Amino acid sequence: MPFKRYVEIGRVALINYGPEFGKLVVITDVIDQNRALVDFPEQERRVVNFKRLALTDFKVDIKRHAAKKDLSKALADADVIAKFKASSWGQKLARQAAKAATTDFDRYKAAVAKAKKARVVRKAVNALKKSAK
Amino acid sequence: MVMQGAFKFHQYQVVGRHLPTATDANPTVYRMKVWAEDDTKAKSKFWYFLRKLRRVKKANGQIVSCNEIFERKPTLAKNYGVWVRYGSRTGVHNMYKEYRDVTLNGAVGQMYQEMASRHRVRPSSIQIIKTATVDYHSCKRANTKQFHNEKIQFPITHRLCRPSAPEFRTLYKANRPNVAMY
Repeated sequence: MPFKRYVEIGRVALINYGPEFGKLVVITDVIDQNRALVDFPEQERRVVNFKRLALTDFKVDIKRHAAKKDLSKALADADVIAKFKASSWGQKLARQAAKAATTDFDRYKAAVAKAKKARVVRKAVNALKKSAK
Repeated sequence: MVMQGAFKFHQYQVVGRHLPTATDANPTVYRMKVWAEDDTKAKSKFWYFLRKLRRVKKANGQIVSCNEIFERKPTLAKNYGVWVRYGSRTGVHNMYKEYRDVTLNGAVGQMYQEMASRHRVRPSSIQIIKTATVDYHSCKRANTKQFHNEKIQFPITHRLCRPSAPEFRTLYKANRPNVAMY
């Protein structure tokens, strides 16, 4: 099976461990086989271990150790953030975040709606069963 | 301020001289860069080395200043060369080691770790002769040179399966880990 996602300059990745969990970053340089220099608009350029990165399908065209404004421009041109949010991975993350942010009242409403739908379905099923007998 | 990382070994610039005497009112001032865990140990190391080089010791000398040296560009990957003298079980040897790191303190920390793991040398038996930022053409080790590539590209072959935080660890898991990437 050939690999599709490579560690390379410009690769967009998600931090999946540690205090920065959930942040999107771009690899701007590779320090050694375990660590990358990572950057993003509104974030400091810093070192992150590959063990904490989950590579995405997206890549931007930047030079090694790109300046912040070049990086922002490349990200905006490729529209990476929006594309990632629209991808199935991004949508899954959004759904998880939405669920984590639900209040008890939201969960009550969801339970009521689920019961209502179940009642309608059961009614139809029972009617069909009765007519089949 | 970019977090420089929790370094065990910090770099200090220690400046000291012999105490002024009747014969010599303005003794020569010596400056040394040392690596130590804190500034007290740095001063101690300073006297250790200076005693070997000049006829001065802590009892008849004084520290003029001791300042920590910080990395100028802690967000730029560099190649560091470290020249080391260490005592093994059977003799004293010199070594030259190269590291890719972002700060000199990080590279020196890597050196201490590597000497301990590969050669079982404890930090007390290691003396740093010299450190330098080595430019790309002068690097000697294949391990550092392989990262000197503008179009560097490699896959991560093995997916790390772990919970996003230690509090989500469980003792038992329903499935064997799947380390396939895609």
